[in-house]
Parts: sequence; C-alpha cells; structure tokens
Amino acid sequence: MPKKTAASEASAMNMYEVMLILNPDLRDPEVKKKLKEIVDTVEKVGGKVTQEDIWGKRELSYRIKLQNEGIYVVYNFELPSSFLPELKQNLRIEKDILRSMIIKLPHGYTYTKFDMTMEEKPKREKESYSQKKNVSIKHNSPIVHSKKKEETEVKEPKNLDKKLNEILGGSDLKL
Amino acid sequence: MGVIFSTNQKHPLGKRRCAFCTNQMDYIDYKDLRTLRYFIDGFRRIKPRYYTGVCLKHQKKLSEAIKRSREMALVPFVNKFKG
Repeated sequence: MPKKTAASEASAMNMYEVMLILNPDLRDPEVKKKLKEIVDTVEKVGGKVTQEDIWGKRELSYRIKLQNEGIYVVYNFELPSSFLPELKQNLRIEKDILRSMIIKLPHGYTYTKFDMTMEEKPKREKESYSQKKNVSIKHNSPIVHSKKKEETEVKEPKNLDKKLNEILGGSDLKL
Repeated sequence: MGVIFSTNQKHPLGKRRCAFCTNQMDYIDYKDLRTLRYFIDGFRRIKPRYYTGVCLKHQKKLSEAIKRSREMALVPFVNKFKG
C-alpha cells in the first residue's frame, strides 16, 4: 500500500525527549562536536530543537560499559515519526554514547529543570549528625540555667512575702 | 516544585488520598527524583500501593517513570552491597 506510507511520512510530527549518557572522558569541545552532529542530523530531516539541557558529569547508580560516571544531556525534539528508527540506530552505533533513551512526550508538556543536588543522601546524614551534636551540647547548658533559675525563683517569693507582710502590717496600722 | 509528598502510611485507611490526584499531576517525570524518592523502598523496590495510598491510575504512571529512571542509571535497580 504505497498511499499509506506517503501519508504517514508527511503528517506525523511529534514531540520527543532524548536523553543521552556520554563518556565522561570526553572534553568540552569534543562533547559539543558530538551534540552538533546529532542536532544537524535532526535538522536535516526537518526536525526542531525546542530544548537543550546539559547536566554535566554525574555519578551513575550502577556501572555501564565499565564507567562509574557519565555526562548527561537532555534534548526535546519535534520530529517526524518516520525518522525515529534511524535516530535510534545512529545513537546506538556511536561509541561515546553509553546509553540513550527516546520518549514520546504528552501534549502540553513543559520542560522543568530539577535540582539534582537535592537528591544526594550523604549530606543529609551529616546534617542530622551535626544536629545531634548540637542537641547534646544544649543538654548540658540548660541544666546550669535551671539551677540558676531555681535560685532566683526561691529568692523572689521570699522578697514578695516580706513586701506583703510590710504592706499588710502597714495597712493594718493605718486603718 | 513546591509540592509536598508524603507516604500516607500513618493515616487510617479512610483518610488516605492519592498524592498525585491532590496535586493534579497528569504526567510523572522520570527526571524528578525528589518525588520518586518517596515511592522507593530502602531496598530500592517500588513501594506497593497499600503503603503509599496512590490510586491505580497514577501507580501505573509512577512505575513507568521509576523504570525509565532505572534504565538511565538515575535510580539503582538494587542496593549496593559493600564487601
């Protein structure tokens, strides 16, 4: 059916998100070269780059191709769907790309940047440890304070009693 | 994102509400690790629905998002064991 294929090539333009993990040994100019090649191939077919986000180096949560780190890059493309299998193969063949993923985005998707520093756990543990230390220091100090307070509290009622007695005695005498 | 997520484990069954329904999130992003963290176990498994109170519609999207982020090494499949 030749008609169907022609129609599908012409019509379907969709939003896609492409995430790449690059080799951490690459330097900045080399990374830019690689990304330019990918963008050029996309634009040749008639696609658009709507969003580019380079996260930089980040620890992988497990080893990929004997690497513990990777350079993360996220792209949002507007692509004809017929180009997808070609893109997938191109990304797979490249040696410096450790892993890649292509996702079809829903309608009305807006790209949001997330703070990846908030996700790290060891910082939290350190904070909690320091908080504990502070608490232990604070525990010692209020004991001293409380002794002083007790003394002042004991003094005050005596004074009050004396004053009351004086006032009451004086008032009794006057009346 | 100023959205607050919490697992509703402490609340009784009647008071549980889906965290994604209350915040009106249609799409759960696989890059949003801060929200995904609440729905991952200490053993890095996806928490079942009866702990978190997430509705079925969102649980399916959540599991897809977590699996995507696992694929891109943002979240581990299994805990790292030392020694």
